[in-house]
Amino acid sequence: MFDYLLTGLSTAVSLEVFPVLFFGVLGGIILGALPGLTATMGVAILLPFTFGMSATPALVMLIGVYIGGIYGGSISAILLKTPGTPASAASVLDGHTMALNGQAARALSIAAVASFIGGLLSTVVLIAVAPKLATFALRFNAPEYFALALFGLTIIASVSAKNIVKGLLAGTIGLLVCTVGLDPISSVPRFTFGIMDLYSGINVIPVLIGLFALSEGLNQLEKIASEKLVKPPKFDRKLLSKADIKEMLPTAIKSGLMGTTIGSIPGAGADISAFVCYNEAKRSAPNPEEFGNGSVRGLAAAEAGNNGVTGGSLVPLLTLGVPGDAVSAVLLGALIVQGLTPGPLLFAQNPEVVYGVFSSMLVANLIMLAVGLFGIRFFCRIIEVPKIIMIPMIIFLSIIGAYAINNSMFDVGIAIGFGIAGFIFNKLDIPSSPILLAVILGPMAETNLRKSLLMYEGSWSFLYERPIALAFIVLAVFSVYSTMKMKKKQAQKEASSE
Amino acid sequence: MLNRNIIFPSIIIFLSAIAFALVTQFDQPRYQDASVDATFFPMVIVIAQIVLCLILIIQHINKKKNEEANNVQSSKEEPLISKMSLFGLGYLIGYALLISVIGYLYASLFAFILYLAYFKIKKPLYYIVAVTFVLIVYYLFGEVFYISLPQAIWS
Repeated sequence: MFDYLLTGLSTAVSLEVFPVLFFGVLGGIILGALPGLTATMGVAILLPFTFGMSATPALVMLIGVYIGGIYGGSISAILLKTPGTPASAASVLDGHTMALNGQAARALSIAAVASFIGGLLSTVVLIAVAPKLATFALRFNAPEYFALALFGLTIIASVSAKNIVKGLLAGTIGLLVCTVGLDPISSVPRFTFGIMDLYSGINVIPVLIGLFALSEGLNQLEKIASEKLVKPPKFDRKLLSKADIKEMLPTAIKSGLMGTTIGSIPGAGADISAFVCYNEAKRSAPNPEEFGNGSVRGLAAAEAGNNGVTGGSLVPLLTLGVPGDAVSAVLLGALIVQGLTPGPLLFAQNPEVVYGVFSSMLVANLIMLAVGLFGIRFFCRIIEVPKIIMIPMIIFLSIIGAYAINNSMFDVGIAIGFGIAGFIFNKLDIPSSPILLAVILGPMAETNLRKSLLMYEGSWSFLYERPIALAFIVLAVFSVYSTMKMKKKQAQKEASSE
Repeated sequence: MLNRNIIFPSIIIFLSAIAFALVTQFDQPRYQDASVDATFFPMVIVIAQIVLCLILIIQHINKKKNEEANNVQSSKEEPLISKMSLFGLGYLIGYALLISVIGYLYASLFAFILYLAYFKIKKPLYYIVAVTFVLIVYYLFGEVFYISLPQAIWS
């Protein structure tokens, strides 16, 4: 493993990979810093740039965007009280208070260091855990993969923001979309209407570009009329002190590890992690009354917590082929474009890619720290960029990205269709993430279910006869139950606070 | 009473019913594999969709009844499609059609400048950024990454 890691490190700092990694992290920070543009969208719109690259630089760039994007969200959260990404919502509480007190540079540097600690710990855990999990997953056969896909589909319940029923409905729409084309076992055409382009099914890339980039472009366009020119608060040049580092270090380490664990649970994203870590830091702090009033620990907990997710969310993606959240679903699309199949075989067949990605993540976190500390003045200018100029750029990149996969205008049509659908669904409070998760996991579920039934001659006994499959089924039930319980509790809490 | 929370699930139920009818007409495979065939998965999904939509309609009706009983005024919903989003949809579709006819470069230059003109942008810097962006993407895709961009129909 260490040989692979060393080779990966030399790849990460090579002339072929380092510039794209740097570009990815920088691009991610810039996109993340712009309110409304999420890390998921950043990865989706920069995806087309990777089509002509080889696998390692392509994945490394997108993971750089992911890492940079999660940190970038804190910039506007601290300076404008507007989180650039949902993951940075918890950073507003203490970060913006510091900025109002003329300590914006201090807050931004604390966020950068805490994000670095969270991201680094998360990557180390990923490197330690992923190969072992992948080796274990080599024992999986069709029944286990079906049960795993089923467990993955339960993520839908947790990513359904307000209404689980609406999330499930979105999931069924995604599942129906993935049945279009030739059936995977007996090649019976389904919903093809004699259109040749539909026989090979609906490509996942135009779907994700439509849902996460085009629909967001339309959303932003609608808000443009109410856009006001933003001015960040004035601040001194004083970065964080040694005392700040000493104060935040234990909290950042704890939150980074918590974030990694939360990230590796399918469905729990960076936004949830940031709030869980913030609450835990507040609960265990000797001075909880400082939280919300510019607490160093509060900001560090939120930032280390959300960046801790970056490595954690890649554990199920790389080892099992199951995306844990929307960003990793988009990254899964990137793996597919590169002709790679995520899952245990990826470690056996393409170790150079896997360890290249691992090593590059370590370097990406260092780049993020350096850019975050030395680019503070520059990032303050970014948030002043008017969104009006960004929208056509998002639309153009999305359209040519959808076209470039197969040089097909049909795929452009698919992207536009899903862009419009995503835009309307957003108005109806129907989340887009379940559609994408279902489009990805649907074929895995159907193919493996039918293979399992063939193996067991039509009997469904594989669901309880095979221990790993049974464990996944139990986990799936538990996942849905705990999500429903959590949502109910949340609703009661909201009702009592009104 | 009729609003988007009733109309949208109703549309999905209607579409699901059509999908259900289509599923029953799928070709039969030359051989039958196990107990589940090509119709099973879509059939289950379509039925689940109908059930979920019915739950959504019931949820909405109950919510309305509760609000009426408690004399609670529900918050006003923003329109599904505003004037600006209509412009956005038209712009999106127009741009896609344009690139398929005159290719990426001319279509993007034209569409970006038209967009800035629509919003009455007078600052030359914006136009410079627009042209530079289009040219950089053209260069990066065509010359650096060798990814083909939509070409004009005459080329």
